[in-house]
Amino acid sequence: MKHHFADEYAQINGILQKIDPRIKIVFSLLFVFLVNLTLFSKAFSLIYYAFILGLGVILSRVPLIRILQKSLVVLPFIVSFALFLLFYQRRQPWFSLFIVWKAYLSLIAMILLISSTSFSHFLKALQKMEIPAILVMIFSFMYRYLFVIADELMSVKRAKEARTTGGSKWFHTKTLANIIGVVFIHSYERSERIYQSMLSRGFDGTVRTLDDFDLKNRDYIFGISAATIFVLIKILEYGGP
Amino acid sequence: MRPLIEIKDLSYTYPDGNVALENVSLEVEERDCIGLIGPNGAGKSTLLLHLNGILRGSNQIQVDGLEITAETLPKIREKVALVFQDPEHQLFMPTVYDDTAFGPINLGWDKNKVNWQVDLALQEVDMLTAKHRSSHHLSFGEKKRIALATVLSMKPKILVLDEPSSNLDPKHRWEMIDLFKNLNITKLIATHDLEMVSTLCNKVALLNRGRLKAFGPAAEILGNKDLLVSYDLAKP
Repeated sequence: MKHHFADEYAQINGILQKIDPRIKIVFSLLFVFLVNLTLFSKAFSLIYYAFILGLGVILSRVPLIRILQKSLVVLPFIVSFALFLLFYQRRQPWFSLFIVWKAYLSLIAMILLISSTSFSHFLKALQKMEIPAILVMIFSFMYRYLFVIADELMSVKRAKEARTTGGSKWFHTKTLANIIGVVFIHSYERSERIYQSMLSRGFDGTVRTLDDFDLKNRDYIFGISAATIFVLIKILEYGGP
Repeated sequence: MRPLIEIKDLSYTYPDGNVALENVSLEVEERDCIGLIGPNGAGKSTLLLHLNGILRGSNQIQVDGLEITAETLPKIREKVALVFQDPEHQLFMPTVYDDTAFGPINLGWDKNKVNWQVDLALQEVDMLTAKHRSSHHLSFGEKKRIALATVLSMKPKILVLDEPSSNLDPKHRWEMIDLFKNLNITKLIATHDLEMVSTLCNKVALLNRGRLKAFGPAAEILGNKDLLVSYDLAKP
């Protein structure tokens, strides 16, 4: 079955793709941090951050439409939160919009990071940044087997549909719940086998890796440029209108 | 000369009470290729899992002169390489390189040796060009080859294969058989593919309901039609 992988644009020839993943992670997180620290009274500065993101999209050569499509998955959660602020907490409509915009910019920054970085490099970068190895391994397994489990779910669902000739909606909902249960049990059994295969290749509970990241001149240039832009935005934010 | 693998009275019962192996005794000489055959549920896979200490039944197994104990497990796992039936179980790392390097890194080899062995193993299975690809982007046949490379990179003395030709189309199946033929190490192959066994193996062990029913030269056992029919391994 065909899947859209999160890192489907990681191998294209974009400038952002060539930057060391550690630098990208640090500046993406810094971007999210700065965006979310922006006060409502300085809302205009979000335009600068949007401009930076636009520049990032151009440098990555990831099609804008793909980024927007991916953002649609999370957008309903952001909008629900804004509606909650608007109707339940009785905040101003502009404030709700401000929150949506901040969350959306953060979301696009993360999508850009993941799209322009191969997942294996992303994980290796996390490990080099002293994120606990066991956590990185869990991320790795989650990404590796998400598609396998999705395929399995699809196969079982098709097998069910092949034998479906009628029945009430309630019956089908119950069957779907059973399918999810079966796939869960299969996943559990699969995890046992994977663990056995890890043991048979010498795994003893210690996660070991070979480090092979080196910062290059372009990484320093990217880092210094990004830091300078962030400082300039803050100057504009507090020195501006 | 001492056999490379010596299994004496191996018995194993799963936690749910299912008796998988009962008093199995087997000897494997160096450079042997042994075909483990038997109907479904005969205990073939369970037996394989004992060979590098994944399962530990009431037994005495010696591998290359070492008894399987908690202390000898790292050494045993360096010597005995196990390839699982479903390559998805074997390929759990983000890229082919990471998967192939997983064993060597756990053995504590230095970076240069790891990289050298990874390249060598991938070359052996003709998949060097896929080194930096993600495993989930590969075809089933390619995954099977990479699964083999993930253990060849550990330079094992014994290769243990669980249904290596299952789910492969005829072309890829024969490619796989040729690949095994060129691997000059001791092999144990659990399979239903009797044609592959007759092509590769010099000895055959027949298991049924956890018991060893026959063990001997491949030609002798595969030529005994009555024996194969009685254990549902051939058409009456």
